[in-house]
Order: sequence, then structure tokens, then C-alpha cells
Amino acid sequence: MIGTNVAKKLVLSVGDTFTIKYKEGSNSNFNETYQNLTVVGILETGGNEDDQVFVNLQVAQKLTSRKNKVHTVQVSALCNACPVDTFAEEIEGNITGVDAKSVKQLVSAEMNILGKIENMMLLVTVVALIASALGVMTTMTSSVLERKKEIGLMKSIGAENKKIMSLFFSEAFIIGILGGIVGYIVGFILSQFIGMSVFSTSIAPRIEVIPIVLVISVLVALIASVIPVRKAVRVEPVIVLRGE
Amino acid sequence: MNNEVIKIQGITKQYNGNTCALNNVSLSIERGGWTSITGPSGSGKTTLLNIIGCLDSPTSGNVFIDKIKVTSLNQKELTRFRREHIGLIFQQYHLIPYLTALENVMISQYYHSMVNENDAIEVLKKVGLAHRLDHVPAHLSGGEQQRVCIARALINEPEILLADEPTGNLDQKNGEVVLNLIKKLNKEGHTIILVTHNLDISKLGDRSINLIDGKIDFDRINRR
Repeated sequence: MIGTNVAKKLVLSVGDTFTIKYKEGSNSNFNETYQNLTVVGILETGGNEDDQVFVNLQVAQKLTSRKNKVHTVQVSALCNACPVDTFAEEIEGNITGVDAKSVKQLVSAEMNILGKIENMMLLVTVVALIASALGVMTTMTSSVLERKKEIGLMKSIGAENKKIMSLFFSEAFIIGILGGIVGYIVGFILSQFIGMSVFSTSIAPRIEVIPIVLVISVLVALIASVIPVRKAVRVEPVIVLRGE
Repeated sequence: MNNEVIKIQGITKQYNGNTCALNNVSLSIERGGWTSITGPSGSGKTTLLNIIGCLDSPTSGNVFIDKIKVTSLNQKELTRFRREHIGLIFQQYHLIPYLTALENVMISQYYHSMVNENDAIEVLKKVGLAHRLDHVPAHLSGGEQQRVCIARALINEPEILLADEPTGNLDQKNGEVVLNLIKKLNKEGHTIILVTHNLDISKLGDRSINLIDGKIDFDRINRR
């Protein structure tokens, strides 16, 4: 079995044969072994396995000149809620010179790190939402101040407060939709960058996230517009004739 | 006066507690007439127009329009009353810069009831702007902008038209076009109340009221 990246680099497909060379030792005193192998499958996991070659135990022992020796043995227990840690202790007790670790321990350590990364991302998201809410609030407030005369005129020709409110909330809604779309695209590009540089894997786009992003961005834009809209509603129509 | 449309009873308007813009002003305005309000800057003429237009309320006194005591109405009722009864013509036109002439007129319909493009086109034809419907204010001359402002004031067929220095920003030729239009509207039955610095323009009305320091200096009938 070979990883997909190996297959691409060596231009191999299933059924092809290739020679593998194993070299061990210092420059002056080294040992080289060769082995002809046939590709029986191509592996794609999105992880490090894509860059690796998998051979059976005998081939590996022959290549490395370590007959009857193993580095790692993975033991699978076919049961639910097994006492895996007890099994590991038993293995260590029965076979000398063996270091047995349960996958559960490794996974739990990795999950712990992932949990911390998730919390950090959540914090970054909350800070980004607050920052964008402040951005929308500033934009809407300056829009209200710039259009004070226009608001006064609308009121003087008969616009009720609810019409003024619906005008500015509609603008906030559009800002929210556009912000959500742009945010999703930029976020996706950024997640690809982080995925490749930190986890060495690409991140698949999730279409179901789009409506969630749009709802959140519209809600943030509407909430951030409440104070500016209240300012707009308080504009007095008389400013049009006063010429302020 | 049997045919009075506006009755003002002893109104006073004070700003910041002591500046007195209007001081115990009472007057009555006849339906279908043209009343010009004159006076120097700071005499209170725009304040009087604001109060008649339900844009501002007096500190004390009462205003009746069509026998309705507008000084007792709340903000929402005043807005409704204004859009039903009053058309406003501004010296600065106050058109919305990103809307076309037609849309500037239709926005007044939108706030009043329902939008009807044909009616808006008819009103713009009436003020002589049939060929400028799709132009934004920046592409219209001052006189044309003022005529769009008049069309916007007319679209909901208000009985009373309030004009604040309507020719103040116009050259003589455009000023005459606008004044002729106002004369025509007055003949059609609209009650005109026009604020001006210009005594010649004030004499175009049936009546001139001059204000000085928030009080009526003179109130006389003009010979036309």
C-alpha cells in the first residue's frame, strides 16, 4: 500500500512494481538492502499516511535486517467499555521490555489540546463578533449623523418613526448579509491556510454553515443598529426649516 | 372670519427658557388666501411657519387648523396631520440627492399612502418638468429643483402650502417661474402662506403680515 502523494510523485498505480532501497549506518560503514514491491492499493487519509509506504511485517524485517523484531504492536480489544488500561498493564507485566500505552490515553491527550484550540477559536470568534458589532454601530451612527437633514425632511413630509426605523434596519440587514457572505469566503480561505500549515490537511467546505453565518451576522448587524436607529428616530423634523 | 382655515391664539415660543422667538401672536388665516409673512432676520417668521406646519410646537397658546387643535396632538398625530393637510416648499429645496425627480415626488406618496407613478408624472408635468423625470437633483438647475420641491409638496393634494423663501436661492427668471406657479396653485384653491424678505414678493399675496421681535408689526390687505 502506498500513500497518494507517493503514488503521484513516483507515478505509480495499482499493479505497478517498484524497487525500495533501505540504507542504515554511518557514511563509511553502512548497509544497503533492496526489495521489489508491487502496489496493491493507494491510500488517502489527508494526513501523514499520504506520504508513506506500507509493507507487511516480513518485508519490513527483511529490509531493516531485524528478523523477528517489532517496534510497535497495536492490540485491538473487540468489546464495549473495555478496561483498556488494565490490558496495557497486563501486557507490560507479561512481556519484559515492552512499553504498553492505551490509544485512549493518546486520544485523550490529543482531545485535550483540540479542546483548548476550540476554546481559543471560540474566544477569537466572540472578539471578532464584538469588533464587527462596534464597526456596524460606528458606520450606522455616522450614516445617521450625515443624513440628519434627510431624516428631518422625511419626517417633515410625513414619514412616521416606524418607516425611518425600517429604512435603517433594512440597511443594517443588507450590511449583515454582505458581511456574512464576505466573512464566510474569507473565513474559508483562512481555515484552508491554518489547516495546511498547522494540521497538514485541507478542510472541506461545509455548506450547512452558510445559513448559520448569515443569521449570526444579520443578528449582530441589527443589534448593533439599535442605538443609531434610536438616534435617527429622535431627529426633529423642524431642523429642515431651521437650516441647521 | 367664517372661512378661516388657521386660527392662532396667543402663541409664544421660547428657546432655552429665555430667547423669545414669538411673543403672544394671534391671527386668523382665510381658506384659499395668500398670506405673506415678512420681517427681518430673527423676527420669528420661520418659527411661525414651523408652528403652522406642525413641525414645532409653541411654548404656550393654541393653534387650530381646520378646527382641529393641533397644539394638543402628539408627535405621531402631528406627523399624520402634516402629511394630510400641509405641503412644504423649502428655500434649500431639500431633495434627496440619490433619488431622481420622479422618485423625490413618489417618496412623499410612499409616506402618505400608496405610490402611483402616473400621478407623480402628472404633477411633474404640471410644474413643467415632464422632460426631467429621471434626472437626479445634481443635474437640475436651482429653478428645476424648486419645482420638484413644489411637485413633492403638491402630490398628496394638501390644502395648505407653506413656502419658506421659495425664491431665495433663485435668479430673477427662475424666481418668476416659481412665483407664477405659486400664483396658479393659489388660484386653484390652495391656501398659501409664504415667508419672504422681499416686500415686492409679499405684495403678490392678498395679505401681508410683518413681524418684528416676535410680534406682529403690521397686518394689512394688499391691493392686487
